Amino acid sequence: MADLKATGLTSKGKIPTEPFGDRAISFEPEPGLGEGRMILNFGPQHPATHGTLRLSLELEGEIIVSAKPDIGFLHTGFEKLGENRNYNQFITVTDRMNYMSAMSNNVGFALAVEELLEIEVPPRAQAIRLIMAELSRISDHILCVGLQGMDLGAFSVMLWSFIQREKLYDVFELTSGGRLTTSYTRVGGLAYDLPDGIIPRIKAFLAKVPEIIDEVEYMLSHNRIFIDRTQGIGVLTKENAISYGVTGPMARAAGVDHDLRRDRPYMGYQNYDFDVPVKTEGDAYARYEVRVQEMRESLKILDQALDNLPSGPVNCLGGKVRLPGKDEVYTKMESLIHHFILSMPGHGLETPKGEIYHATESPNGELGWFLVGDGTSIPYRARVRPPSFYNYSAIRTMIEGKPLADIVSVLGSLNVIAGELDR
Amino acid sequence: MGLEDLLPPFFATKLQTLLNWSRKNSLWPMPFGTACCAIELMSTLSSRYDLSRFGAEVLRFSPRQSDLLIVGGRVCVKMMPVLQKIYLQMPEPKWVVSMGACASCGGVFDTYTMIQGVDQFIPVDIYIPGCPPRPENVIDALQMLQEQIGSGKK
Amino acid sequence: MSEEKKDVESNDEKSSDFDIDPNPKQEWQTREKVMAEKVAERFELDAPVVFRGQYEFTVEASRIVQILRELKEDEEFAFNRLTDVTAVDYLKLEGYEERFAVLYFIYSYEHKTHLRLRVWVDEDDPRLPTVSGVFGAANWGEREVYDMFGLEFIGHPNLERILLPTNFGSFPLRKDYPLRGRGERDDFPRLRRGEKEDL
Repeated sequence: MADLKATGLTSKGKIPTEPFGDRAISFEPEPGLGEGRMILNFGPQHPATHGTLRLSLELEGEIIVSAKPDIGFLHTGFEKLGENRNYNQFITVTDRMNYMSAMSNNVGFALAVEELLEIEVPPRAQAIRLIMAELSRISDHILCVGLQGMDLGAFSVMLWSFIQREKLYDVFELTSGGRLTTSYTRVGGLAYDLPDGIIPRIKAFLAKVPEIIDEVEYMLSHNRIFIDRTQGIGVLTKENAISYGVTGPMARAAGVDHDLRRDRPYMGYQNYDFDVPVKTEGDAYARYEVRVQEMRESLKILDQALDNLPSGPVNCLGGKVRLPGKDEVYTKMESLIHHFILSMPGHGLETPKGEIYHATESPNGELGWFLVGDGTSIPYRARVRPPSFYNYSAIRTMIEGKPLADIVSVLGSLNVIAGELDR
Repeated sequence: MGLEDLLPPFFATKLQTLLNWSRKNSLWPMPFGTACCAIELMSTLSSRYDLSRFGAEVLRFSPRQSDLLIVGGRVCVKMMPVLQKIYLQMPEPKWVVSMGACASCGGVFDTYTMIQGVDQFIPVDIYIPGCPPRPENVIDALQMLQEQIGSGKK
Repeated sequence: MSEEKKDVESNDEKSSDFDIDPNPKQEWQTREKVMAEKVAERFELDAPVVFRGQYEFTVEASRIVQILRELKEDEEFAFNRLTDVTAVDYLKLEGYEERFAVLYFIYSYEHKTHLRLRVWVDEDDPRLPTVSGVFGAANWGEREVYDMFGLEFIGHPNLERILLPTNFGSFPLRKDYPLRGRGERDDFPRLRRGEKEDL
């Protein structure tokens, strides 16, 4: 950053960014050309589709007349699997749903089950879950911004953001044992408490993050190619965003001022001081800006949470919900019985007969769980309301009538996670 | 510069050995990454683990230009025909790495739509365990494959 | 390192002056209760099912489009977002009216309230009207319900399978469909080494 300052170009500096003016490419088809329409198959194996999206495009010249999205190339049967696994087993599966931010999914599912059982976890567990959810938000957004840059040719940003993601992987690995698929929460608490010395480590990482965000922002916000390919591209109007059920950074970039963390707080978010960034443009650039801002807000939350981390247990032991620790199982009779009851088939958690919907704000938007309890330890129906599914359903409104090359920019800005889209 | 003096007057080898040597050191992977493994594959390629140290950094998303198919992630019934098509489109010689539990055996997803191991339908040379495998595992698998290619076993 | 550790310890002591508001739910649960009463009065609905402070109304299939449209357009309710559409197959549970239920989750950005509507669907005639004319989100949501449960939405613009291949024969989230499927996942040709592309 020192060199940047020497040239007077800090991240907040001004660089002329007006579009190319007369040199802007006109998309009017030349006479004689563009007659007759062409069907183009885009994906599923295309670098911009991240492997699993397919679009059938009808083109007139270079303009997309109509687009037909085709999804399901990663349909895994999560919901059917949810009806055959017990609540704690299913946490392992939620990791694989949104692998960019596995911790958020773990937390969301555990909260939904706890809502069904009407139990509350101890304050320390809540705070740790919140820290992990926010760290995973940073790890998701930083990679999304990097990939958005990479899709438009700015490869270094992706490499830079991956360096930071690796540091976050180290944090996750220290806490949960897994880099990507964490499975850290349990119904009624956490798998383990935080390991020794992790807090200084997280703090040391967080201290560097603002600088890194500045760097990434410097690389992209002043990059004329990036600006020309994102500003005014893939515009999602506020009406469409609401009608299609778009949530998360995409909706906030389109002017929908809504964040579950602020408007329906869960897990103690009401105790933290943070802002919800909102833009009104609704284009790919606004989505990028909202993500960058959200990382800064996550940092604020994390600073407060790490400074005020309560002490105490991380599992609620009342109500016989959580598996007892191994040290107790090996030494105490009651714990051993408790362990067997919870893990034997046909026994386990006793859920009430009832149906609940619980939503959390995952990095992509509203991640909701609809659980039907039937009195056994296995959900009768486990429906997930995937944010990516509804976010992606609005794609036609963003690309139809626009040139073909916009698709790459739009897909990069949506952050569609195929595992969550297709489940 | 006297280099001729250092080299032996003639250099004899089997053409096949020379070909294998060059093939093993310039693998062009085609990442067929669908799910979590794709993210770990990206980790392997990016700064910390840097797959280019082993001569396999030229990722090509076009099967016609690549010779190593890395199947990373879950493959479902809708994706399997795509995978087979991609396998057929790759020019010979070609190798397939099945990365992660899901591609190798279905992993935790024993459901109606998941292929229980891509090796049922396409030939696989190397399997990588893990869910997802660590980048070190991927590098290890790549080196094993290079060894086999070099010795002419594959 | 040791300094940082000290910091953490001293911060732990500070935590007492950290404002804690333990139950934010109460506020919106009251709001949702008021809203549910208004909805019941307006559309003359039966008493809602209340579980964990969440309200759910049962609506006849013939009225669902009109009710959702009014809930969306009337300023008093302003349920402008369809959060999700899904279905449940009650085959293995006793004491329910019909085998299938379609659930509509709606949310109001203005009032910040959730509401759930339920439509029972007959097993022998699994059809109900589409709401994709009211909410854009219903387009894909209903396609997924069709794909997974085989419920037909009359008047849907594009009722095709969305997640599964079009030639997939069954509806997998029905309770009589086995978890491991009926052999769909094993039904592919086996490629051999050296096989050539069929051009």
